Order: sequence, then C-alpha cells, then structure tokens
Amino acid sequence: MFSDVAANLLVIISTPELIGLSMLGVGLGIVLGCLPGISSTMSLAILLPITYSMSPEAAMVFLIGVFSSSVYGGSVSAILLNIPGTPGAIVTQLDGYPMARQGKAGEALTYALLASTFGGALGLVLLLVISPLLAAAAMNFRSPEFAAATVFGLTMLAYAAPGSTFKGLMAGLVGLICGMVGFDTVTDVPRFTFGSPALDSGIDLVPLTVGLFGLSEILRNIELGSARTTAVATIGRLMPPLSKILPMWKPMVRGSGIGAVVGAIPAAGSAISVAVSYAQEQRLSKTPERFGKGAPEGIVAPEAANNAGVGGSLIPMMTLGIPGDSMTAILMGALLLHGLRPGPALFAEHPEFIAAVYVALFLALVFTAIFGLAFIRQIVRLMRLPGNVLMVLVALLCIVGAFAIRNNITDVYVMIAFGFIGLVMGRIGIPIAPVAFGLILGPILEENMRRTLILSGGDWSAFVTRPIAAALLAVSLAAVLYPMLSALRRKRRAKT
Amino acid sequence: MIRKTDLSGAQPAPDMPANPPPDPADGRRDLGAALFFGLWAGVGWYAVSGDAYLWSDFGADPGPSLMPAIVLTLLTLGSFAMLVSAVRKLRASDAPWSGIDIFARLRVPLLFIASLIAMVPLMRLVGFVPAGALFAAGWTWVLYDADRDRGIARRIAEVAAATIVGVGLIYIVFVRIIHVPLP
Repeated sequence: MFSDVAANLLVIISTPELIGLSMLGVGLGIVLGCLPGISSTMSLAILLPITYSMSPEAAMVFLIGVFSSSVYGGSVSAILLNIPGTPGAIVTQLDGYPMARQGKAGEALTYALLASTFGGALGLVLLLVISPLLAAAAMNFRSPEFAAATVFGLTMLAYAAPGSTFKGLMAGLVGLICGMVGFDTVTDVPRFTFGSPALDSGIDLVPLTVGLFGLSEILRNIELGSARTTAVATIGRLMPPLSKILPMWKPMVRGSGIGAVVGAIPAAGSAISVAVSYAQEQRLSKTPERFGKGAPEGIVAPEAANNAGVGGSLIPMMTLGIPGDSMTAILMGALLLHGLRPGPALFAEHPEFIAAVYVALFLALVFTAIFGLAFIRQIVRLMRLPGNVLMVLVALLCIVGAFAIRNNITDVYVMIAFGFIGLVMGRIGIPIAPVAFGLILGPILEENMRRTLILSGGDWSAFVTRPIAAALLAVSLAAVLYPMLSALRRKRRAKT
Repeated sequence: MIRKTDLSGAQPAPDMPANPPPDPADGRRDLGAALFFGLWAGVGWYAVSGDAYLWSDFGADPGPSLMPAIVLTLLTLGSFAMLVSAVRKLRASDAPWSGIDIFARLRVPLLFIASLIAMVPLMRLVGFVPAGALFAAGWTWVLYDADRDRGIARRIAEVAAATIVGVGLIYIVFVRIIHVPLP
C-alpha cells in the first residue's frame, strides 16, 4: 500500500491538472467554509456536480481539497465572527472570538491553522495505518454482514443526528423510501414512480443533497433574516511569538489523538471530539479560568481534534462503506456517482484509487497550510461579501448543479422540492442528514438483505447466526432502545 | 404567564408548580413531525398497494415489495407513536394552540421557492443567462441589507455588478469549462 501511495504521489504532483484541482478545491473550501451561512456540507453538495465530468481520481482530489480545507474555513468564521462554519468549530469560537476582540485575530487564526495542519497529518497517518487492516478484516464480510453493517451505520448516523434520535431514525426511513424510487435493480419493476417516466431512473443523490443541504439552508437564512453582511474583526499580527507557539505542542498532540480516534467511530462526529478535547485541556490547565477569555490552548486542542477527525471519518466510509457524517456521505455519493462502491472490495480492486485518496488528503493539508498563511487577509476580505449576493448566487448554483448531473429539468424540480422539504423538516425539529444517509445506504441494504434471503432460502435467522452480523444488529437495536428506555426511566423518576 | 424551568435540580420556588406543564411548542413540533412522516407513509402505501405486480411471486427472491413493506410499516407505526405522544404533550400543556403561526416568517422563503419554480420554464423559454440574471437581480434587490443602504445609485450599481459577475461566472464554469448544455 505504501508503495502505491508513493507512486500516486509522484503521479499526482507531476500532473499539473490534479495539482491545480487540489489547489482550487482547497481555495474554494476555505472561502466557502468561512462565509457565514455556508456550511462545509453545503459547500461539498453545491460543488459535487462540477466533478461529474472528471475522472474518479480527479473528483476525489478536488472534493477532498474542499472537505479538508472547509473544516479550517469553518474556524475562520468562528474566530472572526463568532459564527462556527462547521459543527466542529463550535468550540473554537469560545476562545477564538475573545482573542479576536482583543486585537489578536491573526494570532488566533495562526494557532488554528497550525493545529489544523498537525491534527490533519495525524488523522492521515491513522487512515493510512488502520484502513488497510480494517478493510482486510472486512474482506470476510458476506451479504448478512454488509446488510447488518448498513443497518448499524444508518442507526448510528440517526443516533448522532442533532435533536431527537427517534425523529432521526424516522428521517432515515424517509431516505430509504427515496432510495427505492425507480426501477428495482433485481427485477426491473418500477416502484414509487406513480406512472411518471421522469421518476423511472430514481432520485439522484445530487438533487437531493443540493436541495436538502444547499437550498434549504438558504431558505432558512432568508427566514431568519440572516442574509446580512456581518462586521469582520481586523486581523492584526499573524504570527504569535515562537515562545508562545512551542508550548502548544502538548494540547496539539492530545487534541489530535482524541480527534483521530473519535473521528474513526462511525457517526461519532467532530462536535464530540472537539468538546472532549476542550474539556480535557481545561481540566489539565493550571489556569483554567483563562478558558473562554482567549486562551490559545482553547483554540489549538479543538482545532487539532477537528482536523484529525477528517482522516478518521474517512476510515468507516472507505473500509465498510458507511459514511462517518454528512460530509463523508456526500463524498461516498461522489464515489457512487463515478461507479465506485466504497468498501473492502475497493481496496482489493482499486488500490491505486485508495492511494490517490490518501495523496489527495495530504495535498489538501499542505495547500491549506500554504493558503492559510499566505492569503488569509485576502480570504477574509471575501467575508465582507454581502449576504444577499451570496444567497442568490448559491441558489443559482443549486439550480445549475442539479441540472448538470443528468441534464434533466426534472432534477431541478426534485432539488427545489427537497429544499422545501428541508425547510419544513427544520421547522418541526427533524434532522435532515439521515434522509441523505438513507438514500445512499438504502440500495446497499436492500441488495444485501435480499441476497441473504435468496441464499438462505428465505430463512431470516441467517442474519443472527453469523456472529459479526448478530453483534452489529444487537448494537443497532440497543442504540434504538436506549433513548426510549432512558426517557421512560426519567418519567418514572419524575413521578416518584 | 411566564413559566420558569429550573435546570439546577434545586427545589422549585413556592409560586412554581412541582412538575411544570410541557412546552406546547414541543408538542406542536412533534405533531407536525407525526403528520410529516404520516404523509410519507400514506403516499408510500398508496404507491405500492395499487401495484399488483409488485406483490407477485418472484421465486427465491423475496421480491421488490419486501423492503417497501418493512420501511412503510415502521414509518406508519413510528408516526402513529409520535402522534400519540404529541397529543399527550399538547393535552398536558395549558394553552396548546396559543401564539401559533405556522406561516410566521415563511412568506419570503415561499416566494423565493415560487420564483425558483417559475425560473425553470423561463430558463427553457429565454435561456439560462437572461432568466438567471432576472432572478439574481430581483432577489439581490429584495434581500438587500437595509442597514448598509448607501443610496439608490449605489444599490443599483451593487445589484448590477453582483448579477453580471455571478451569472457570468456560473455560465463560464458550467457552460464553457465543463460543457453543461444549459438551456
């Protein structure tokens, strides 16, 4: 594997188009990530259609550039505007914004960048070491294990979605229905098409994700009246003194370790790892009272954790075909769009592609560090772009992006419909990400479930007689039942 | 009446009930969610139950109806359970429907969606560039931040610049570079 990585690194760095795509992805990722009202998931969703005409390797180089750098971009808006661009940057603002208000915004941004680069590198190492081992273990998976792993992934993702777990699970079921629209892959029987030929080929991932994550977010911004221009803090000096940077190595290492491990757990999400690493630093600090008032450790540890989670979150997606969060779900959708199904077979059949993913992540880290140091003042100037202009242009991008995938006007209407559905879901407290997870994982679940039942002659016990499948289903069941049982217990306690 | 919720675990103040009634907004949101999921389940059952071929015998294959049947059953049961829970929450609260306005702040987003829908046939009629420019100029004007209004001339210039640059960039990237056959 390491020789494949080295060979791919040489191929990619000697191909100007790929280097250019990585730089473009990183540049767009930082800019979009730091613009208020544009999340990393939304950035990936609206840029995904651009990759349709690219080779799978080129698409991954571009999208991983966007993915990795938008995480840093999210921290820029957290520090300068007190608005986290990503869930993972939610803790960064606690000390980043007070530093910015003290006139040290530049230093806070540099702390965040250094920690991001270090954390990202550690996450990449973990991805390089763990994913081949996990993929080799998963080579023993057969259809019952894949079906069980898909149920496990769907359940965990719904469990981790913000708000009610039950609503998350139900939203996942809606996603499964969306994934069944069109011709059944085994029997060619149309389902949920209502006799409309426009729905025969099913609901494509791109219009759904662009609608749910892109358009609905614009609609929510308009609803909340946040299409405004926000005052950005002045940057000031960029480089903190070396005497202040050097003692940061400990929080950096601790944060990276936490982020890489938590990130590798499917659906654990960056919000958990940053919260844990922040709490850990505060607990270990001799002056915990500085936290929340501009302590650099309060930026460094969560930022390292946040970026270490990028590599970690790719592990379950690449090895088991289970997206770690909504961003990796879109990356997985991009792979499926290019005819590649993530999972252990991808490691065996396309090792060169896996190596290209590692190299793409490495390049994204390098370019994020360079752009972050060299162009941060210019990037921050873009944050003064009026909110109304941004919202309208992103809406146009949503229209064009939905059309671009299949050159089909129906996809545009589907995108608008899901934009509205996303707005309604937000108002009634239903998380939107599980719908996308259901759409992606539904066909995989159905295919493996039916194959298992065909091979076992319709015997459902085939799912519980194999230990790994049984264990995955048991954990899924526990994840569904636990919130219900604890709610019941709380009610009983309240009564007594 | 202003209701206070004590999160500290301390004893409630003498003027507060020991178990304050639930927030009616929670019940209303749950009711909305139950209806939302119920609607999906209803439409789903309508689609699959009218198709006899879907339920035919496919031999060893459990058939294309298995997964829809499982998912729709779970969705139906789940939405029913959510409905029961929402009704109980609403009945326990003092004024479940007070201050309700489903369409509060929705007018502009709905207009935005309507204009997007209208833009699609317009795009087919006159092409992407004029339709996109009309949409962009109109909404950049409507959503203009009143706090930074620096006169009508400046506002027109900003809207025009944003429209030309934005629509132009999208046209160059999608039509010229990646060859998307936009109408």
